[in-house]
Amino acid sequence: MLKEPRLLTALDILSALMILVAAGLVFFYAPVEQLMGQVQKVFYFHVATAWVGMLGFMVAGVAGVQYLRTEKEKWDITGLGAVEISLVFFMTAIILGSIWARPIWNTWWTWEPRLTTAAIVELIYAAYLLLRSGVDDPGKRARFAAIYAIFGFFSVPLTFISIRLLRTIHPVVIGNAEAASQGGFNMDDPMKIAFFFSLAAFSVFFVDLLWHRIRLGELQSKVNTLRIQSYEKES
Amino acid sequence: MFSRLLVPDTFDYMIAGYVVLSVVLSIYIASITLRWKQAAAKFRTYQEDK
Repeated sequence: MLKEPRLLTALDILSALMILVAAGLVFFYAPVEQLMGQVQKVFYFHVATAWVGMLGFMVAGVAGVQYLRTEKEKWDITGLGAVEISLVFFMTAIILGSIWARPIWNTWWTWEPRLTTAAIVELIYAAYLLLRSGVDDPGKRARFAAIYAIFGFFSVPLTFISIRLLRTIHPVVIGNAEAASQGGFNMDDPMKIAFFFSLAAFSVFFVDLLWHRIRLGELQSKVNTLRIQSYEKES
Repeated sequence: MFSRLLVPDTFDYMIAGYVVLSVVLSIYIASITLRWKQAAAKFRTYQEDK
């Protein structure tokens, strides 16, 4: 149980290599955008981290459905792991966006639709962790978390489409941008390669981290069972 | 030459972005590693007690 599977070690190496190649493409292959300068290079990993955040919230929703169907603990552990990882990545995406916005929009933060809905999503899933810790009974906690993750996921597509439906200054890089958007740009081929490779690299990194997090959850669950058995033996 | 002069200098913001990304992800990876080591130590202890 403690020994790391070979496939996971291979995935560790693959994800590290892919992130390094993605960074190489971003810094040395993709050209400098002429209107924004070097800060535009933040965009590649900003979108990739936001994508991983949304992917993890979706995995948590699917794990929630699976838990309600089967009541197997592994789905609860998967959901918790996916939310935890996604919170980290989504928060990183928000911070990277804020750093990009300072020279481009001349402000760190503005309450426009994309930033507001992204902040709401982050708070919804932070509440997921807080509320989980408030329920002692493992079965109730898992059921509650599963239902919360399913309903919580409805906020994620809302964030994704907010810049396509509402009047906003947030740029849309793929698809048609709102006329009021500021900081948008057309990607040339080297930019597209760096962009899509970054998305792929972070997706592999997410799978790798989730696998580690699930193993950790299973080990913690096993330790908890052994602790209870040990306590019962003593008393 | 002329167009290069017009490109704004936003290098510091780019560096700040990648530093934040590296620090946050490193902390998270370290937290998973530490929690794994702690749980593994407890697991071994309970296994020995069994």
